[in-house]
Amino acid sequence: MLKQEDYKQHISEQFNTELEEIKNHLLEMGGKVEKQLIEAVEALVSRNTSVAEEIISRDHEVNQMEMRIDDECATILARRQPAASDLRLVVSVIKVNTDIERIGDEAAKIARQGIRLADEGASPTNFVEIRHIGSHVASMLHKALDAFARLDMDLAVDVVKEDNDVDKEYGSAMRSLVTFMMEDQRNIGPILNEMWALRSLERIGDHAANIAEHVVYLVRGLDVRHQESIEEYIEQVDER
Amino acid sequence: MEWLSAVSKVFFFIAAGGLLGWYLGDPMVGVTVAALAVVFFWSRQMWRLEHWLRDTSDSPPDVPGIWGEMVARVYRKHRSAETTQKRLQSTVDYLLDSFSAMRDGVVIVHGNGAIRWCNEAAQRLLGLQHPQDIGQLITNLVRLPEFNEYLDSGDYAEPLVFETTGGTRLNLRMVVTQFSDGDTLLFLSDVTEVVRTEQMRTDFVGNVSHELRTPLTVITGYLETFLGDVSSLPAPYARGLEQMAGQARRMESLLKDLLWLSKIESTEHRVKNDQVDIPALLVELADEISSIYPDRPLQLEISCQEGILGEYRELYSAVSNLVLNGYKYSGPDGRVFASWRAEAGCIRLDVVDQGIGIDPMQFPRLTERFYRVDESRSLASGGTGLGLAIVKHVATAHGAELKIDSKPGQGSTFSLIFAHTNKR
Repeated sequence: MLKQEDYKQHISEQFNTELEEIKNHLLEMGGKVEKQLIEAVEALVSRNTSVAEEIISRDHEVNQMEMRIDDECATILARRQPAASDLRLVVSVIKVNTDIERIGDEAAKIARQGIRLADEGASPTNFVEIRHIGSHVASMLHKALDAFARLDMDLAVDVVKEDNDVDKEYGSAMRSLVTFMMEDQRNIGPILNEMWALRSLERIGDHAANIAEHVVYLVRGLDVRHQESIEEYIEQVDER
Repeated sequence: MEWLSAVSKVFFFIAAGGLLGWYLGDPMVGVTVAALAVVFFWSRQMWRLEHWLRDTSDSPPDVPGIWGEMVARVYRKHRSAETTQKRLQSTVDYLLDSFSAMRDGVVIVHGNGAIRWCNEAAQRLLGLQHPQDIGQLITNLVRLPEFNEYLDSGDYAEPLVFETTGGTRLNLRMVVTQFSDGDTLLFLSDVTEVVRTEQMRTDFVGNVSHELRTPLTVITGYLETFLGDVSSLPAPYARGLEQMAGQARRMESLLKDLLWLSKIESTEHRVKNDQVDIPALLVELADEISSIYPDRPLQLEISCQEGILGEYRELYSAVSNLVLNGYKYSGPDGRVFASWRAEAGCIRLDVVDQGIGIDPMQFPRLTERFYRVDESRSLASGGTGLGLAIVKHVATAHGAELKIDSKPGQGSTFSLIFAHTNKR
């Protein structure tokens, strides 16, 4: 199993720093995106269009960070030809990088829906669903990044399982929004926008779960994507 | 001397061996046997000493002569070193204990950003885990853009107030102290309650002002209608209605200022990115002044064409408040000057009047809301008592310093000093 200190074992001090750097940069970007997400949900709920616009305009910073991290990873692959856990680190950083950037895009989309919803006036739902799923998804992302920083596989497995809860909550939120639309057809416009925002939140949950799966790959070298039950799969592998 | 007596004992012993050998036939055999005996005895003591030194927790060996003396000295040294170490350790433990027991979070961060130690409160406030997180970069776990920037900046003069992410969201206030070789000590206190109360206060003022405006609009509306046709009113009513209209106008401007103030307060921490052309702002202000005071133009002195980053409306209201104060508090022909010039490291805006001046004792309280140096005079001038509070908030929001210089009877100078870093 991979441990914290394992990055400090290379003879080349420079290689150690390069590996540490990509990890630090990734987590820095993760923190930024997490904040974007929280602020986007807050802006939508409080109908604050100026904050929403700020969030949209900050999205390019996240894109810049993504490109920089990809570039650093490519450099490491080309110059160091890493093997074993180092290779897993670089590969998972590249993958997590994409997921985090997508979360940034979704946060910007939520902010955009926020502006549209603020223009449309009162909502019959009071954004209860968005508030609820939003905070759930934000805490999932936080945990996934924590798991990455600490190489904590148990926490990562928790996050993957939590995604099922989010999917269920998303399903019931959709049903309740549909009843609002059936009650009064004037609601259809705003509710559709809310659905888009919810859809983005649900996607963010998926991306957070992906990050957690990459953490399992990084720590154990196991690819746990597309498994029915991640815990059972890990147990099976352990028994073999 | 211990050593001399030990060595002379050895010589006596060897000499005695030689004498005995001579008596028995061969002195050399006697000397050799005696020397061998000495060597055997000494190496045995040496072995015992060496054996004891390997593990000094055993009681020291009971060895005779100079060896015993040496063992005793080593033992005494060792004991005193042990006591000192114990005392130091207990002091360190005591200090760490007192840190641990603190309600405020304490984190010791290594020069490269790695966590060295943190107390329980810090673990709770920042979601850290002890001891697994020792050696992790603190920025990898806290992961807040403003937190990273603050730690990177190296400028810890002002504490940082930030909101944590993750499960429970807390408002924390962080004070950073640097010590020894670039290590830093982070002090974290939970200010969630304070921030919430402050927010409630701002919201309350904003909401109340907003709610009061609607009834006031109705009142002023009717008053204006009545007063539009004064001649049809009975004389005693006309005077009363006029006074009511005057007070209603005053109340309106008061509410306007309060709302404006709470808006500035709520956006105080937002980054302001618009380029504001201060020279143009001053020219616009001078234009407006010339319509209020046609024969007392605002004297402008613009020696610098640079602008700053900020919010135009906020800056305009701040400067116009300063300038209008200048007019209100100087005589009917007192002149007011405004200047915009660059100085070493800063750009400053000065508003100078030749009015009644202020006692320096009053300076600290001037920017308080509704604070008035002279009640009767302020009421006559029609001020709301919020002008300088607005100026102060705008200054804070733009990272500027408000400086007051005045003497009673000699006019006053109000300066807004913008740091050069404000421009880009």
